Amino acid sequence: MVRYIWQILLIITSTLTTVEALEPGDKVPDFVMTSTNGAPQRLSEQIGRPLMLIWLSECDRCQEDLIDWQYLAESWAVEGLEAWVIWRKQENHVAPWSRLPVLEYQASNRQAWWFEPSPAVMFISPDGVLDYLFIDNVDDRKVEVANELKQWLENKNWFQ
Amino acid sequence: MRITYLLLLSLMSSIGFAEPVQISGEALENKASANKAKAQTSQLSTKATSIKQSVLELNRDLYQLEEELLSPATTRAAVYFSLSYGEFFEPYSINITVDDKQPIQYLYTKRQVSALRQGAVQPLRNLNLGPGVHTIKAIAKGIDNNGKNRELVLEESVEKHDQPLYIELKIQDNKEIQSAELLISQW
Repeated sequence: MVRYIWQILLIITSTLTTVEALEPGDKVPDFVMTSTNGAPQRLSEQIGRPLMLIWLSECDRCQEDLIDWQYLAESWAVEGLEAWVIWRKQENHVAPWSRLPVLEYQASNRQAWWFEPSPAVMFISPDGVLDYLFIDNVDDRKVEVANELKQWLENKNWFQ
Repeated sequence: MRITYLLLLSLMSSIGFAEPVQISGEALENKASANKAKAQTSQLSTKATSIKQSVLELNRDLYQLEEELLSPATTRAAVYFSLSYGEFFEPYSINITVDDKQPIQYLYTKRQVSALRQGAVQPLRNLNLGPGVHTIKAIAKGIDNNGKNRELVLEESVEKHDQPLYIELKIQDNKEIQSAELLISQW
């Protein structure tokens, strides 16, 4: 009997996480987070502009790992691309330095959420829909991400 | 021949007159039924409008009743936030506690700060506070005009009477000291 209950609970839990997981085509829930290098940022204020979110995993002064993302984002800034890095403090870690806004996820902030699995990269269309999601070995797939970003920004048919 | 022609002419004319009479009769009936339907529709729309109006009034009364029950004047309080000029301080966040409880936290984006600089007054939270003296602690975090991180701290006591209490926390520029200060005022 206990085994059956355990199995039912497991099924319910797995379906719940599947339902809650964010997938391409979903509207991205709003958040507002403090920034380690500037003013807080709110996702809904980016409506009308394409946005790239870079979710970091463990990161202690990992600015060197961010340089490629920063150059990529800056090279497309002329097309209106906005890019944010999202960092979560662990133990005594220090936030990375970047010219991009580095947002800090804090569990105490009720208006924020954290994405797992991290690291991950998201492309969010100007109408707030998740268009692309990269989750596996993201740091080794920077070229692929860059190519997809180029295609995504060159198509520009979000509002058609 | 002439008689036949006359007969034919009279027949034609009679047919010609009979048909329009028949059509106008149908048209009259149609018109009457259309008018009736129109009158019914307008009556229905008037009724629907009055029902909608009464539902709205009922909703408003219920809302007022709920407000009075949940938050009567004796315990009603509200906190507002504003920025006067904002030349010496740009807020990033504000944390407020009343009697070390009911924490209020808010993060300000550049766009919101710009709205505050233009005179917006932000309603932060409605509170339930009993009559008496209450301690309000507020910490506004942000940057000063040199881009350095700065905190403005305030701790004040306010007295609540049997009337609603409206508190405004204001960050005001002080040109004499070239700095900003966090002030509290009651409406």
